[in-house]
Amino acid sequence: MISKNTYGKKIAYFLLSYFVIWIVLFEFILPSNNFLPKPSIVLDSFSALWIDYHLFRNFISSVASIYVSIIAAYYFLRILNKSLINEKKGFRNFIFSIEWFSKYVPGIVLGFLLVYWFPHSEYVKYLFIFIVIFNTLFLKHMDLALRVKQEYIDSALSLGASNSIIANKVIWKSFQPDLMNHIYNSHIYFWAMLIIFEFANNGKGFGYIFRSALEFKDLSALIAMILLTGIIIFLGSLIIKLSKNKFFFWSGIEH
Amino acid sequence: MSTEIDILQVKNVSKYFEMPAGAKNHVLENINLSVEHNSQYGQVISILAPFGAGKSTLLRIIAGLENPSAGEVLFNNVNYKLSMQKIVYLPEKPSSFPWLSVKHNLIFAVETGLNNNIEKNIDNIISLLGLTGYENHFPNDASKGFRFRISLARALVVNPKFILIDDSIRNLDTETKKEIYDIINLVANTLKITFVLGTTNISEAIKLSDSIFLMKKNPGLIFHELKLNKEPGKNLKVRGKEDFSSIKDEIESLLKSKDLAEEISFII
Repeated sequence: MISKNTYGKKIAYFLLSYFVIWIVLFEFILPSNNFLPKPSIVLDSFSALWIDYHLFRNFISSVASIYVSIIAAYYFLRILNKSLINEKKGFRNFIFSIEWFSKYVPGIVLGFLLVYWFPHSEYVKYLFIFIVIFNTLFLKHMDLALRVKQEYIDSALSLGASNSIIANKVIWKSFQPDLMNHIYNSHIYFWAMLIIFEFANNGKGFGYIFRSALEFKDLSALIAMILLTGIIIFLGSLIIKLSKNKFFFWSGIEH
Repeated sequence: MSTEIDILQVKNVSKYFEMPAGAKNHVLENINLSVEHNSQYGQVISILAPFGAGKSTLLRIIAGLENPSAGEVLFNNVNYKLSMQKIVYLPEKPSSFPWLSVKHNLIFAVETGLNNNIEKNIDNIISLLGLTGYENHFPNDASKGFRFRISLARALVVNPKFILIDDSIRNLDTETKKEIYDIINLVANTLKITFVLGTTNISEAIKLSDSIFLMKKNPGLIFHELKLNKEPGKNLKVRGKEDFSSIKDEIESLLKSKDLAEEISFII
């Protein structure tokens, strides 16, 4: 069986190989073509991104909206945890309606409506990405809370723990590693939603740079942005994974 | 020192589950048992039954985790409720919380407590169960035996009268089992706790118990109580080979007379 580590290394080697092939092929063998720019031109275009496309401002806007929203959604879920676990019948129907809606209507449709109602609004971008992340975590929470190991709940009940203690100190804690895994797995989805929203909104952020590069037919800026976005998402995922391994090291649910 | 007697009674308890097409699956049928806790001494009571007889269901009902379909569980003639914290249930699988250190597992029990005075007992319990020096360790780093000790220590923090052990010792290796038997005896003798042990292991039941309730399955019912310790109050210890053989013979002949020999798995 191939271990995850070996699999990761293989992927990294493949990516590195593509990168080397791109440099050799498009820098030296086919310097003039209509498919991909020369690597040296892409390198030059990083400075153009910084000055002409206001990379720093847009970088801050995108990164802040993703990670502030993840943290805000996580803590909001933490606050609602007890009510979600000790849910009432009406609340359960409300949850099912959201689950049903998000199964058939992609979240970006809501994003397009928000773009229509509030064009270029930075605050609405934060609101949109927060809703996307919260909805994802919220649905995962409902699934994980039902799979917490029964022995933890039984032993806590038997010690006389209240429903509130069980919800916040047993059930919530039990599924933290799996919730963090879900954030890790959904990380690229959050970025995709954000970039599409920014692209449509034409306000600030990476989506705005992609849109501008397309409008100016600036292929090297486009490739440079793809590389930059990939690196940032990779680093973000790495930080989430390391945090998960460091702080949420247990297994508390039935798989 | 005055003697306090607490009585745990299971009265006419039955449990069935509704099946499709209106049928009922009877798990427990009219269970009656009575166990005393004496503040002067500890004891171990076993419920010896084959797999699938409903031991876990019975122990969960006694602990207040599950409602019976009929009958009641009384503690000193009052319907038992979880908030009383007199009966603590240790599930079959390790139940110490892996996200908390040993000490914080015990503090968790303090937080569920009816009063805050129990916090001072933590250090004594840690010392009694041989957990000194491991207070900041996490259960996941440890063996099943160690995790059992943490769960037992946490149970002791709320100062219960009865501790129900749901076959948790079954999957441990021989050495660890011996260690756990000694710990159960030590805790019973030192803290005057009454253990109720659900087990499929006749050897375990004989070695540890003051009395054994024999239970059959389909449906689960208790058909005999065997009193082994004729001198209540005498310090408990793990039984030797001679006692063991005679008690085993007695149980076997009892099972044969009831045509139930096939039902108990002998894991000696």
